[in-house]
Amino acid sequence: MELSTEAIGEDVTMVVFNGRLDVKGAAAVDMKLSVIAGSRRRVIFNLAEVSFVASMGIRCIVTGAKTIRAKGGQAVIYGPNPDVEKVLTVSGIDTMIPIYHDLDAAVAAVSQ
Amino acid sequence: MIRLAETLTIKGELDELQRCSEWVAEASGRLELPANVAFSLDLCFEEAIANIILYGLKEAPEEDRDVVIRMGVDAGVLHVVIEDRGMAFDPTAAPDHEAPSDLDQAKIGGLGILLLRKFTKAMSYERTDGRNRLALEFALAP
Repeated sequence: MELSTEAIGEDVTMVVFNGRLDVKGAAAVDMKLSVIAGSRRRVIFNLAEVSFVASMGIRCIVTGAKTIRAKGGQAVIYGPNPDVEKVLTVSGIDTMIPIYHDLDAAVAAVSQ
Repeated sequence: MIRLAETLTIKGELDELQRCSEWVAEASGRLELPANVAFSLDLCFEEAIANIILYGLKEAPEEDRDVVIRMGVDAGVLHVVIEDRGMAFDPTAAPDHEAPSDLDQAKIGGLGILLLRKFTKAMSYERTDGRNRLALEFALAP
């Protein structure tokens, strides 16, 4: 699991996850994600290149989103594949962190 | 008796989850599982075995730390059995995880068991001779 960030416009940060968000993957990105969540307010979690997610990975995303929301910021999820999206919706995560498949809509959602 | 031809024994350590996941991918290929079933299987192994390693085997002595996994296909159903000698724990009896309504209340505990329930067709548990035996079933047809 690898994590990188891209700036979109002036103040939106896209966090690109790449690989498996399992126990090992979550442990690998946990620290880096906390730092990003602690310093950015408008964040898109790009899961398009995530092939697998389990509860440890969800914990990592929810914790990051909580940190961002606590500062009055906004976090959304972008582009999960159908299997990954099913895990997120079954877990009820989509009701707290909206999922978008259109990047412009995701940017608009965090820019409000 | 259903024949569970695919078997793997791992040590009860988190580092072994990766080997387990690689084995699941290979075995899914040999059993010609549909991609969505292979994904569900991967997910359920991760959740069930991480639980066993993190909680069930936490205090287990070295010689009792093996987790034995077996699986096979019979009549359109994939049967999986996971056995360990850790503390007794029946995931089928655990209370339902309540989906959090907002981020402030979001608790992740219990999510793994919810995923096990939702991504399997059936799940059963028995404890015999100091051994936990968790059986999972997956439907192969949609």
